Amino acid sequence: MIPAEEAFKKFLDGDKSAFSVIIDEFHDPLIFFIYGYVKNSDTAEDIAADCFAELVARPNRFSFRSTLKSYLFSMAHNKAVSHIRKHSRLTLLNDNSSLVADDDFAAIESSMVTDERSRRLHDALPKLKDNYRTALHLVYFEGMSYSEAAQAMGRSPKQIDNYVSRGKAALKKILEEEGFAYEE
Amino acid sequence: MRNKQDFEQLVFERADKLKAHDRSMKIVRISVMPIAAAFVVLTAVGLRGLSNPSYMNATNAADNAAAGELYEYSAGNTAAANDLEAEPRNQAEINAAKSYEEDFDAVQDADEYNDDVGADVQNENTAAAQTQTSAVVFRGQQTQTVTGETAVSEITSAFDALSEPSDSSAGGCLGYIEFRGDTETQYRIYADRVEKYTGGTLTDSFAMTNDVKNVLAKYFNIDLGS
Repeated sequence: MIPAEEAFKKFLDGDKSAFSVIIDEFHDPLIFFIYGYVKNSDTAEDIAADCFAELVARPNRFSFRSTLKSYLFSMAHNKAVSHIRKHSRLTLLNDNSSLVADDDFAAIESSMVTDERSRRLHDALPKLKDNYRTALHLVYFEGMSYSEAAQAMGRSPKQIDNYVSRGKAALKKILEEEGFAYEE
Repeated sequence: MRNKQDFEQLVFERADKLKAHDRSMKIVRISVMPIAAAFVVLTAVGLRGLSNPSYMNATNAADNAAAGELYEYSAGNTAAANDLEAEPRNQAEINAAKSYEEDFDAVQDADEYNDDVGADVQNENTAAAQTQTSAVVFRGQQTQTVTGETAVSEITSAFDALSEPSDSSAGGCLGYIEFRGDTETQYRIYADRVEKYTGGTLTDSFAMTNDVKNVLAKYFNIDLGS
């Protein structure tokens, strides 16, 4: 697979098919990441589509000074947070139903959560504060460095370090309460 | 959820909408820019216009003050120029004063001169008066001078008292008497009459009087009889 940045350059040079490479690479991770905020697969897909559309329509906003992955996740984070703010009342009303994932998202989830450890982590993440959950998601599920996660969240690497540390401490406590042994 | 093909189509459809939206916003921005610029300009002009009275008043006051200063400055210059123009007049006055002083000096000199002349004249007159104290009688080729105040006074009184006209012309001139100091007056003496000459011209003729005969006999030894 060619790196996403190279595919994007090809797309900018007129190779429209190169954008398919970018969608293939980030479709599932973005929806999985956004789902953690909005708790709705259609909404997560909708926001993910907006992220890709903005990359197509406003390509100059990506300056190649960061990775395309962190840029896309940054857009996804901002749009998801914005969506929650706009629809917070509706989310509260539909809180119970939104926790039920549809089949399509289940397929994505299964592709992202490949082992028991990830499963337990993924199940416990919604119980953490938003910043802890997002930081742990980006670092553990997306394999981002603290620097990339910082770009995606609009924070400093030191803040990401703090989020991850405190998130892991909170996660340990939750898992221990549920009878699981927490492993670093 | 959509399959990836539909998802990709959705992405590009939304991208087209975003581009169209951006273009319309750009057009709006471009079309609004002149209006906004005009609004800013008009607002600035309006705000300035609102504050214009005080601004204009202040400006006018400042202008008036400046104009006043200029006027005063100009007036000062005019006054200075007038002074400068007056300077020659002052100089003329100074010159006139000097001339006056010179004239005064001249007058003084003249006075002194006149005094001197007067003194001289007085002296001359005094000398003449003193001369009048003498009378000279010419008889033939002989001359006889009488001096002394009393003698001269008597002789003068006798001749001054001549008043009677005489039409006689007989007899020859026995002699004549001059009063020095008044040399133009000359009395020619005949046996019966006395003729008075002024500047060599006969001006009067008097009948001989006894007083004249007496003084002639007394002081000049001319005996005409009584």
